[in-house]
Amino acid sequence: MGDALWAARDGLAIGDRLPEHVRGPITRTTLALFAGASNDHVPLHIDSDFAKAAGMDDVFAHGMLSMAYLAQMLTSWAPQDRLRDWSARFTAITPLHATVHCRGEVTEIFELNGVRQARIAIGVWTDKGVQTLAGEAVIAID
Amino acid sequence: MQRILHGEQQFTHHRPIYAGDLITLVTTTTDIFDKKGGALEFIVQHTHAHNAKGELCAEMRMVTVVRNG
Repeated sequence: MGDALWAARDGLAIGDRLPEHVRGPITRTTLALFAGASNDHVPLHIDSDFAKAAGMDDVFAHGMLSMAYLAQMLTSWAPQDRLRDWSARFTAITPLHATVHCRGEVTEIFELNGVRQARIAIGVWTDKGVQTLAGEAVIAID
Repeated sequence: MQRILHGEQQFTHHRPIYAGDLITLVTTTTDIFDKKGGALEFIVQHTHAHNAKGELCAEMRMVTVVRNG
């Protein structure tokens, strides 16, 4: 996305929310494809027998799948090369069949090396309201 | 494998990576600590990604959690 298309930049203010980014339901196919795409073949995510033997109800989603969805939210809101830093803690597992909601809200606007930056609280919630990721992103505004 | 969880992940971007770039990743384990009397162990790893010109493109920080007992 070019800067000319970044409409959100004008008048950006604390409290502004990014458009919610919704993905899912997450299926076994989603997890099988993401295992290949990410080279994360941990069987907890792709082998129901293994997951159940480990005491889980079933396979569950890779944390990085939800973090990838967060990246989609961020880079569909701002040009990719303005993303300076982003991080997440994985606070709960994402169960099979969940639909996930990625949300972000501007919490601070500050200057670093002469460039205005927006700090954005980011998170992912399941459709049952459980927060699965919590983190923040820094995006260069100017 | 059943006891390992991805606890945290951070990406810091310094310059874009382009198609055709050769990227070299070097990972250093920077900290290992435990909580709850050893029931949870945390492994902190930093990765630096340089392109063929030696420019730092990105840094990654990962925290792995190991559940003991």
